Amino acid sequence: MANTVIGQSIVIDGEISGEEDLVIQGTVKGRIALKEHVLVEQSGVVEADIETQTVQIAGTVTGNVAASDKVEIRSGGKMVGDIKAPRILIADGAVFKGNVDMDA
Amino acid sequence: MATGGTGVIGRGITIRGNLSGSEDLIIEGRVEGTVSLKNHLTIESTGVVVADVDAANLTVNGEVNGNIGASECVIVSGSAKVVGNIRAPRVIIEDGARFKGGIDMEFDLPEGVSPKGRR
Repeated sequence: MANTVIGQSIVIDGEISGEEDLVIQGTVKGRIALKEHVLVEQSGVVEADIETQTVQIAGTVTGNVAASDKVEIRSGGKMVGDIKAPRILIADGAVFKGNVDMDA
Repeated sequence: MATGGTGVIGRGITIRGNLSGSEDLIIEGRVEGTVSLKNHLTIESTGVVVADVDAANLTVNGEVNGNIGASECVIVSGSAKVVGNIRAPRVIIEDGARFKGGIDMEFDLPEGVSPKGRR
């Protein structure tokens, strides 16, 4: 499977869309719309609305997240915003502020 | 009841009103009103709480309809169903849990990150 990695020193201001997995180690501001998997790594900072199938957050996300399958905030992950997804997991050590909507 | 013991509200019990105390408590039955506890509260899978809940630690395996405040930690397990807002320094939501509402954990974002999603 194809895989895009946005490295630590990369800053994107705008919109990311497409149909492959995305790993964010850098900074993204704007909007992310994908059909696959988004991983925000520890060093990753996302100030954007995210719309995709699954999202895993180990870094920092401010914005609204909508996933068709699952949103997971891992230990060390920080998020401020609203989540809409059928499955939502928040691990011990994660921090979150916002609303959760699990209605599919 | 002695402090530090564990109380149980059994499956056949319904409580309407205010429940408060300073010992660990397990709710297997139904509570409507308010629950205020200084220790660990566990709502078992058979338990239904239609109330605002305040405790040091809270584990939800059953159903809660109301706002939750905890001074330490809230665990919403995979069998739980929660409708309401949660305010606690640590909130854990396990896979399979059904939850609708807001979550507020007090924390600071890294420097330079704007909380644009903040309400």
